[in-house]
Amino acid sequence: MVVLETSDQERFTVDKDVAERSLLIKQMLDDLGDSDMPIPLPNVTSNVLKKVLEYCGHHRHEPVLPTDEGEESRKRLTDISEWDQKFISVDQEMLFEIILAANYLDIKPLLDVGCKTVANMIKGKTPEEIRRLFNIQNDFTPEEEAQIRKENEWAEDR
Amino acid sequence: MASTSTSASTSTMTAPSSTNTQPTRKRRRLSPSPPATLSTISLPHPLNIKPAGNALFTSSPSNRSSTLGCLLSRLPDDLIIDITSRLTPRDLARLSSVSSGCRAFANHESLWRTLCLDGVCPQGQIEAWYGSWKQTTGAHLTGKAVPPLAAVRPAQPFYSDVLYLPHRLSFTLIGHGERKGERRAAKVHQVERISANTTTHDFHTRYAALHRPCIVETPTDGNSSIPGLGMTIQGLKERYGQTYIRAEAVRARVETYADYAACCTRQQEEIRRAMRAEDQDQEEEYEHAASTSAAHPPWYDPQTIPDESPYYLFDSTIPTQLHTDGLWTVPPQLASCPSSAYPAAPTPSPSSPSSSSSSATAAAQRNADLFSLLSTRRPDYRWLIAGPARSGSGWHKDPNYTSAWNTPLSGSKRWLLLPPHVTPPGVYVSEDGAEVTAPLSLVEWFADFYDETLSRHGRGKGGDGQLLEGVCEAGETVYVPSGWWHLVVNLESGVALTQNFLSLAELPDVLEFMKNRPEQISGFKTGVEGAQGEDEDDDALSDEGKAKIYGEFVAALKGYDGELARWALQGAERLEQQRGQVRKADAAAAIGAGAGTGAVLPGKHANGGDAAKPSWWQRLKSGGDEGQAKTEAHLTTAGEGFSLGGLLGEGDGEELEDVPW
Repeated sequence: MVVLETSDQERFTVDKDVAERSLLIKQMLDDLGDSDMPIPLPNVTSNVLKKVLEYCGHHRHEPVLPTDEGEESRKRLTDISEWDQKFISVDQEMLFEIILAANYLDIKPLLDVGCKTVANMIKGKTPEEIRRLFNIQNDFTPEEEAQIRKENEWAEDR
Repeated sequence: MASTSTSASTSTMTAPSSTNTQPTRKRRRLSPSPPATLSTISLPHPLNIKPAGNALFTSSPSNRSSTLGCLLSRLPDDLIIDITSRLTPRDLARLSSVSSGCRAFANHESLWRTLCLDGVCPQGQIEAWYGSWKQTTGAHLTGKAVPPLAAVRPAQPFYSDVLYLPHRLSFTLIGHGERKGERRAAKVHQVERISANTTTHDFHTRYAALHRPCIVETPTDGNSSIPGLGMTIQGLKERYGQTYIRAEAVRARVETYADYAACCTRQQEEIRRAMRAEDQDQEEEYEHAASTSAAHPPWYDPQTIPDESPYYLFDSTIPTQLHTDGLWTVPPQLASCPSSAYPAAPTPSPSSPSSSSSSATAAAQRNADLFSLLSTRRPDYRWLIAGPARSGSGWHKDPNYTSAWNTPLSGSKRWLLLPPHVTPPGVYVSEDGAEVTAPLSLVEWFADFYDETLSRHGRGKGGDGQLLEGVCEAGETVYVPSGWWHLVVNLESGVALTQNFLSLAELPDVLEFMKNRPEQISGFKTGVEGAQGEDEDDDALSDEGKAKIYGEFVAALKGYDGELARWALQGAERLEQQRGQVRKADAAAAIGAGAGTGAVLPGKHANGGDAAKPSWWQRLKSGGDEGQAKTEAHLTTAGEGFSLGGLLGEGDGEELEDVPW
């Protein structure tokens, strides 16, 4: 068992194979050897870690892919498995927190799910819909906007 | 280089490895000795993107959160690029219209390059070049030309190192001061230059037998022996415009590639013009290049950042046509190889007992390239190379331990060479030497590792003097001995011929290699009639075939000349023993140091033990010119160097290959 301590001082006791979905934690454990000392995760809060551990627990038996393997096939695909889909159906704030935590903890498949989800949110939307979705300010002048619309109008041809 | 179809893009998508993104203008003028490569000039980015560090010096509030929104703005830039790299071309184009921040990410050219070569155009085959990767993607997708980037430059800068990097690299100097030979010579040993009148015998005893690189100068007797001399990319287009070629990840007609190259040249000229306006000192780098100015290319987008290291044409089919057209010539010193240049090697006496002078000539020609004994089964060996300035090949060794010559027909090339056992900084070689990884593009390597290479391997204080540099002008020929690391970059747009060969000089090394590391053998063919299909790999040798090819080659060699085969096999055996000893010594050292794993830090790996060894240069200087008596000893010394370092880049290390077998 491994003890993880979040930034808000909450402790989570989890199986080693679950914790080691995080390559950061795996590296720490490899370096430290067996120890009862809690591993501090100062960049992750308890409500986010709870969510991340849910993911790690579900995927605990899957092989950990080497970093570079399947990089290309991973890249462009945006389809997400059903369980992951349901798991990642969270509000934008939590989605953001999960992506950052996956990045920090080095959990590639979870980071992938997060980035795919954001990409899927953008897909098929008009510029105005994207602005509304992410609360983005249109900082182009009307003249600039007209020029840029012209530059990209081929994207609307079907 | 199929697997590296996105090599250029991935390298620019990684976070900048150098923090030197905050150039201080004009600093150069204050320092007595200017930095070797990095320009300190900063040119305005067309989308007003600035290095992240600049944000510290501004009082105006950041536009990041307002123009990227609450979610994206808080993610690191490389994650935003990860997200945008999963979008379709149409989604990316729409994102471009959202805000200035989104537009900055959505027009990152490496995203479009990947979309084009890895998505919209299967196998990277483009039918025409439209001025930028975004336009080329759009045009191939919609079937008609799409507009270039609108000249909309936001008043407020957007700060991002990742997005700024390609722009910074586009004005990073790669040939700075190179033409002022004297200045450079003080820092780096120059590749030796030899006269065009050097005899074949002298070339072989003084260079080939010693595995010593050199540049053969252009004949000055007036009647040039190089019929294709002066051929430019434009000339290539006129002759072979419709022929499909491969230029790394790109497959295109010569015509299309010429448009791409002309576009790169035009973009580089614009940058040069802007730099000249910034600082007169920079002019020397490009003074030569100005003369190559091409006519306006049909497609050119002034707002787009050009490819930092343009795709480099490397083709093995056009040479056959060039040969037919009488435009393929082998430099005379390399076209034959007299056995008498190798003291231990007997003069071949082909079956006919009367060794007339004509059969001696034939033997000398055969000896210049013994892989010709394998006829149709030999790997591709003749290549046409072309590319705009800044294109080239990153550090690599040539396949199968062959040596090579390279003759530019137009444009000049800058060469950097390191002896076989000195792994270049920034390049990682797997323990068995089979895989070579260079994470950076050519220009990025110059920006991040050239100075380090200079201080470690230059002539200056603390350097071991192993690095050789030289500029090869049109009409001259570079000789690259077997096993040597080399990096080549075009200083101007140009066309060149190159050939890989196996002469007596490298025969023992090649035999030792083929026998002991068959898995690293590359490019040999089954030779089965009809196996050569559309797919280049159809004809490739299986692992089983690779294991057999050594025996087949030895048999061919014995059939050709028994004496020569015996001599070469003895040499190979000596090399094998040396390798074994080195391996044992390495293992002992590793145990002694308590370093159980082979995972040595790459940087350290490159230098490990070098200090104790006499420099390659010193070894040669200590009597390399003194004729045949010492030749044998040096041959052995050179061989020893071989067994120490990383070996051939092959297979997955394709990023480094200038020969995509």
